[in-house]
Amino acid sequence: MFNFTLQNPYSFLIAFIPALLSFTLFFYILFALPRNKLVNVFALLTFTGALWQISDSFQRIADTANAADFWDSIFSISWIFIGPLCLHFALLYTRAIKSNYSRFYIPFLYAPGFLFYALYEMHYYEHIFQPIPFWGWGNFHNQNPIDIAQVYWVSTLVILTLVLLIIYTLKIKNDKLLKKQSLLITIGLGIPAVIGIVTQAIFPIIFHLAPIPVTSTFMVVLSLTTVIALKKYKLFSVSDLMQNETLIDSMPIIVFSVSTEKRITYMNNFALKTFGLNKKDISIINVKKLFNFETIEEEKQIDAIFESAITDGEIVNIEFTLNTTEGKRNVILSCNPVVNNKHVQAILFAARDITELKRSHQLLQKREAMLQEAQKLSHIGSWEWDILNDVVIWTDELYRMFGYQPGEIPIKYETYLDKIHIEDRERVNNIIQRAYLDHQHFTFYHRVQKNKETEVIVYARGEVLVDKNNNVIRMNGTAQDVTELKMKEDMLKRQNEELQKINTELDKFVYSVSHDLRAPLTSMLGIVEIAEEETEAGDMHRLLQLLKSNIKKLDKFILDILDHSRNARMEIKNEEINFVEIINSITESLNYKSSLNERMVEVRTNIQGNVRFCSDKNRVAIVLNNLISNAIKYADPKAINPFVEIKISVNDEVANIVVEDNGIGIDKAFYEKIFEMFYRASENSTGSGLGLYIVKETLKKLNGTIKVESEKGKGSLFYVSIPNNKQTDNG
Amino acid sequence: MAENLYRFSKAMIIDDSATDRYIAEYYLRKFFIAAFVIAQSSAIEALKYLKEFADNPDELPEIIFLDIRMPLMDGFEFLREYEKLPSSVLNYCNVVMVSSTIDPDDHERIKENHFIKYFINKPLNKEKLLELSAAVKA
Repeated sequence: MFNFTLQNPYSFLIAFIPALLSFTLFFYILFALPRNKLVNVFALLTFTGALWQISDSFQRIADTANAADFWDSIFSISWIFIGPLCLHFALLYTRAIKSNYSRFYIPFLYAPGFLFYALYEMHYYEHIFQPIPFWGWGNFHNQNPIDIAQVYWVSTLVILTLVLLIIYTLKIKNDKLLKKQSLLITIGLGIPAVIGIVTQAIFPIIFHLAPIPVTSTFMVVLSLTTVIALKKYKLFSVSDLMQNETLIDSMPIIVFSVSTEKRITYMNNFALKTFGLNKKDISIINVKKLFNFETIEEEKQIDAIFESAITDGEIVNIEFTLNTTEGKRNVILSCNPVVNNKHVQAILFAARDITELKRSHQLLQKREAMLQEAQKLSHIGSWEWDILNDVVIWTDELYRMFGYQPGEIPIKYETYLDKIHIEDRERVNNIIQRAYLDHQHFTFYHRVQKNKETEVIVYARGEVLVDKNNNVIRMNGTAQDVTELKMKEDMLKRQNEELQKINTELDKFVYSVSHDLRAPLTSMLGIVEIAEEETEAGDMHRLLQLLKSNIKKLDKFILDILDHSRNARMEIKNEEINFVEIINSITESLNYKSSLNERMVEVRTNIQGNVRFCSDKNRVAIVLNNLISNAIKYADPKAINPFVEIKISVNDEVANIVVEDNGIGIDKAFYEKIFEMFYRASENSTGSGLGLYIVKETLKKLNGTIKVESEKGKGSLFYVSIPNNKQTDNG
Repeated sequence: MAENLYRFSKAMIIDDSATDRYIAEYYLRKFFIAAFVIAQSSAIEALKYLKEFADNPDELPEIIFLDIRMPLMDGFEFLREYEKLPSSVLNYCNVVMVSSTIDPDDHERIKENHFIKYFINKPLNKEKLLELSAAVKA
């Protein structure tokens, strides 16, 4: 058996080299192509081809006919099953028959093969081996009907395969790559198929010629082209590449399948985790526990879905709630009946969690409602003008503001302009045009003819949005109904004007009154002074002096009242203060002689600071006037050189004034009281009691402060500070 | 001759108050400010006088003391009519406003009117009048 006679090496090599190639291809297929049914069958086909090639190569160089027979018998399984393998491969490749039916055709495909193989191996009929010139030993399949049937069977299957592939290739219209792949495979099969059938079926059986055993060699063409086709154009679909379950298992979506008896048969990892279940528990659990039913209707809904899926194969997508480890979650539930073999075998549920989506949707709705409400309450509407598409969007409140029902009509720029009061239209249009050109924010008021009877005043504001090429994309803004506000504003303005008028009138009245009160006093004073001049006599002189002092007192009182009234009502008028000027005019108009001390009171001033000081001139004068005249009035009769010193230091924030005297002083108990209206702290006081009260009120108006330090019999210090208003100088 | 002692030969006082006229006259005479005082109790009468003696400088007063608050025609109204008098009067006479007013509006109007050469507060007294006549004479 194991002696070989090489008549010529070529017949051996012509089969052996392809065999080696086929084996290489076989291992390559196992390594380089993905493992699925198609590739598995193709690998088997290639292996079978390789075996056939080995069979042929050894058979040809066998020593004797028996030896050839021997080698042929060992490997005959290969060429018997080439037919069904080719057809199986083509059926898988062209997806000609649904895989559901694979359990049918596979047995029919291979069964005859086994029968033929059995008969062949048994040598039920004689195997005729004769030498073929050049080739060596050859098998002549042309005697026995079963032998012939066998050859026809293999040939028919191969022809069917070829036909199937040709039809498939021609049918492909759009998919260019698939067409190329299919064409390559078809050619790859076509070559050995045609050659094989002609040389090893037609020649010997029909024409009784010697067979030319080249088919096995050309089989390698099929293997090679198919490998190239599959590898180059890798057009495998997902189901070819993955075990379906691993894909679903890892998806972050809840997937579970339920049998028609409502038993859970499969649950992916994500679902197991979500429901907090173990793989072994799922078939025991009642599937209804997974769903969250608030009402009976909802439970009935799920039952109905189930029923319709089983009976009608109906696919349903609904929104529902599931019971998860995190509580109730809102999901989109998809219910798909899985049909196999014409029956619904199970219901596949897939659920996507939309809880967060729902929540943010509800929040959005709520915010929308709040915004609407806010707009309504404050009479503000928003608008947006998409300039590129000329689309204007108004909020409901804006529609109402312009006298429309919300959404009543589509709004264009022209509609908007039409509603504006005719006198304001041009102005508004100009403002908007300008904004379009200069891209600046804009605000303006305009009137709107809301309807025949009503006119409203609208305060509009807007901004312009540009793209990166500085073209205007859109404008948006707000509009507020300020009719009420404007009315109130106008009313306030009028009231203010009236008040001002009243104030001015009051001023005039006060001046008139004070003037008429003072005029007779000044006249009286004049007469008394003349009388004083003309009289030398002591008594008369004394009487006249008393008369004079009373007149002056009354006059001073009137002036004080006037000061108080003006301080309370008049606006602060800031101007630059020259302290020297003020103090000079004070000392000029004052009587240097105190009431108690016949000596002249010395007035000293000490002004520091180069900073400009601004405040209300009249009020500052009033403060200084009162303090200085007090100091003079209350000088100590026993003092040798009575003085009053005014120290002023000015900085950016404030002017600090200290008025110091060596007069009769004030008891500590009276520190607060001296600032009260009409309070006099001494029996000898000839004043009205208004002086310090006025000083305090005046300083209050200026936001200044006053503090007193005194000792009875020694003297007094008055510390005054007045804020420096040099920033708000309106003088 | 006695007139050379006095600073002004004639002065006019326009005031509705008799007391104030008396006071003014007293001081003007006592301190040799004016030799003769023309007392006018109303602004209307004063204008009549000035019109009448417009061309007679001997009868015109060199200095006119004008009160503000007077019935019928007040000091400012008088000044409006005074402006219309012939230049012989306007160049010769000097108007001094006298008042006890403290209304700042009045003070503004006084400052703005260039016919008013001086302003003094009532009551008149020696110091004020001496100061004033020096200023007017200059």
